[in-house]
Amino acid sequence: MEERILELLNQKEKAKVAFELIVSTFSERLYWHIRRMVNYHEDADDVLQNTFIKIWKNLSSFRGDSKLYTWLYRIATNEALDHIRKNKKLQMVGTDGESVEYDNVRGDMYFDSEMAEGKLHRAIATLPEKQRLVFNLKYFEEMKYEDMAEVTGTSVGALKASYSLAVGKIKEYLSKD
Amino acid sequence: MEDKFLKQFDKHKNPHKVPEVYFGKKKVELLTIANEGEKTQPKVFKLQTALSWAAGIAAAIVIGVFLYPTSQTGSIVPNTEPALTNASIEEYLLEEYPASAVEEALIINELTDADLDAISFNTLEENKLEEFIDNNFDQTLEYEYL
Repeated sequence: MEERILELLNQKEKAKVAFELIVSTFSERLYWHIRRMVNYHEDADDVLQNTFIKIWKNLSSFRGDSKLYTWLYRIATNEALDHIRKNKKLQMVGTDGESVEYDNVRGDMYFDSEMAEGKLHRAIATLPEKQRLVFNLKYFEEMKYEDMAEVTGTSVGALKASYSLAVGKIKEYLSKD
Repeated sequence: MEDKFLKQFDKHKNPHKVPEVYFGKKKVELLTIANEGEKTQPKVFKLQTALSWAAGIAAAIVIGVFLYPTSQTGSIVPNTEPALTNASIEEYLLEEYPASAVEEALIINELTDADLDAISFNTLEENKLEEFIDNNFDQTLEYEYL
């Protein structure tokens, strides 16, 4: 599918068709990637919209230097991190440093906290944003470190260290829970 | 290699839910982005407007050609402003561009003399530095889509 999209992108008049294919192929995957970062459905919906606006605006400048899907994930990741940053500025500082993210997950009407996997997601929500990003890409998306490096602009060594730290923190959180 | 304790969870079971038929509706909504973009793209120039622009540019070039020699022979006014100090430049940058300096400022502000003495810069490892930054500062990736 990626090859077909790249072929279409080489023909300027086919940009809209290429965009339609990107939407149908990647919108759901990108939604879940964003959702795991921002937690709330409403936030993920907004970030997904902004992500596709950026994709459409920058589509003509995509030259295929990186893989299409890592380019898309990079935009989605930046939009999600941007959203988290803006929200942090708006939120009142709580007494407990990690409670804001945790409450986000627990208070979302589109989150089933009864599931066993809910515990894992609550643990993930307490991670610093970069570790959360790395953990999600590795564990849920099963992305290769080399591709993750393209998405995050971080070295493979640093990514492995971040993932290891994230796993350690999740393990510690679950053992306390 | 995945840690054993993670195997107790099924990564395909997702506690996050979405409203019914969300993805179907959302795809339709996302496709309108391209349609709206297309509507604003084509621009039709009227001949009269184009000629007015051409005449304006030509006039500006002619005026520029006449004014150019005058500016060359004009006397140079010496700069009488006092020389800027490094401190005043730093102060200006921190006031005008706080976002660009915030992480560096935080690092400097949060480290005490004792902290600095405790750090052996010769043995500082990438992993430890990464961990310190991960745990203490926000991470934002650069916007580079090209």
